[in-house]
Amino acid sequence: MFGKKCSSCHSLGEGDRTGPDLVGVTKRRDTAWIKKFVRTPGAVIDSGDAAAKEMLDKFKGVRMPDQDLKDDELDAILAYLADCTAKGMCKIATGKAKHANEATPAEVAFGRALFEGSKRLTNGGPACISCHNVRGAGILGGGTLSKDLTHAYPRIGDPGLSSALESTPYPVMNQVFAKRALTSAEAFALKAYLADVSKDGTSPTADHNFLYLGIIGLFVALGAIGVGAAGRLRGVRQSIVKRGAP
Amino acid sequence: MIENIVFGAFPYVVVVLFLFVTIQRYRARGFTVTSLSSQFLESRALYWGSLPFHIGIILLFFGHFIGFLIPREVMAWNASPLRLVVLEVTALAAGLLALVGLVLLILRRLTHARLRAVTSNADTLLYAVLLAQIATGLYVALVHRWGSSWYTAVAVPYLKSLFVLEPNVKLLADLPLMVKVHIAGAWVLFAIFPFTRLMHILVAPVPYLWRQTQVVIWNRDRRKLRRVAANEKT
Repeated sequence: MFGKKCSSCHSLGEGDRTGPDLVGVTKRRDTAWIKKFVRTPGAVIDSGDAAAKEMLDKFKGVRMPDQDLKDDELDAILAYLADCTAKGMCKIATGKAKHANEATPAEVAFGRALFEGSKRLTNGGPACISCHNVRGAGILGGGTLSKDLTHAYPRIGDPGLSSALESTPYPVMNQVFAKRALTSAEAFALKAYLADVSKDGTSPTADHNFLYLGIIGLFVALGAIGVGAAGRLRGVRQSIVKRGAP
Repeated sequence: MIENIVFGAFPYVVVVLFLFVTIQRYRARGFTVTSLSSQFLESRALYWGSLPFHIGIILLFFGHFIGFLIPREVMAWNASPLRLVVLEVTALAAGLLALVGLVLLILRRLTHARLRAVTSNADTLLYAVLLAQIATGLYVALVHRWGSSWYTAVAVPYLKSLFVLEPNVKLLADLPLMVKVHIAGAWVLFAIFPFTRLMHILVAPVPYLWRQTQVVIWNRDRRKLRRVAANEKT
């Protein structure tokens, strides 16, 4: 469970990552608080909870996504965390994913094709570009329903990105990819592509080309409607009224 | 909680309302099923409002409907970045066309006294809901773009879950607010459908496009009719 759901952001005894090191968490906080926070971190932060506020500041405003866990799953994770706290640290199985440095140019290209959708994902998941933008993706860029991933690689880190791609712990992705998980080859290729994109440290520029193209389309359509207006039948009365006007 | 009501329960209320009231209105007051055209009262602004609005809204309606019917084919179409852009720009242009048309129609209603006289409360409500729906749709298209792709992954499974009577509201729970407002607005539109002139969609004279032409010839003697009328006066 921990390897699937938590380890993209949390380590056990190897220090803080995107989120805090969870060794000792069962001693630091009481069980009811942990349960409430894990399920609805956003709500706890917004309620003005002092401990949550302090963490939000420490982790540069990164909010943990809500975790949809059943009671027994949450209990199992808490038991595991208590066990690791007693031992001082735990080795997490997902730590062995290949590093993005080892990717060949072909794998990076494969990752880009998967991201843009020209290569379909094996299990039928939607292409990343539907919701995410990355510098240089597609023609007008990627989707903006969700986060820009240009700097996802340095933000989450190499092992974190692997596990995020394989377990998709974010709320919307979790629903969409629940039955359509990425294969490990696909996850690696995407990680390699995102690592490659992030090498240029500048932020992607936003443009309004999409809106401009839409406005061009609007005027083309209005023009066609205007052409139709010219040859249209008119009532006899209109022209008589016009002629009669002083 | 409120999401369970709006996205889980409300759609079923809407469907029942839609079917029951539509059928009842057609049976009991069939002659009210009409677009209530105001072309005789004003036709010039109507042309520039009605035509863009209808072309845009029909394209958008079928876009949403086709995406729901064949999501996989839409995804396959969007697999090429160029095709994605072509589809999205067409849809955006249709949205802008519908907005321009509707705004013109609203201004037309406001500026012509004879049109204000025939505007009912149901019309005002319909204009407001349609304007809100087109505005949120354009906002979503621009700010949360590539909806043609994520619609198939997020909204279509939600709609399907309604059809199999297992509403999965979780799919929508974490979407941006405007997307939720747009979806809720769609249900509101279906809810008011049978109480408004939207009913005309169901009786659109589609066979008009392929039926045989009819030539109307008056064969009464108009001179004689005029003579009769003159005699009656005296």
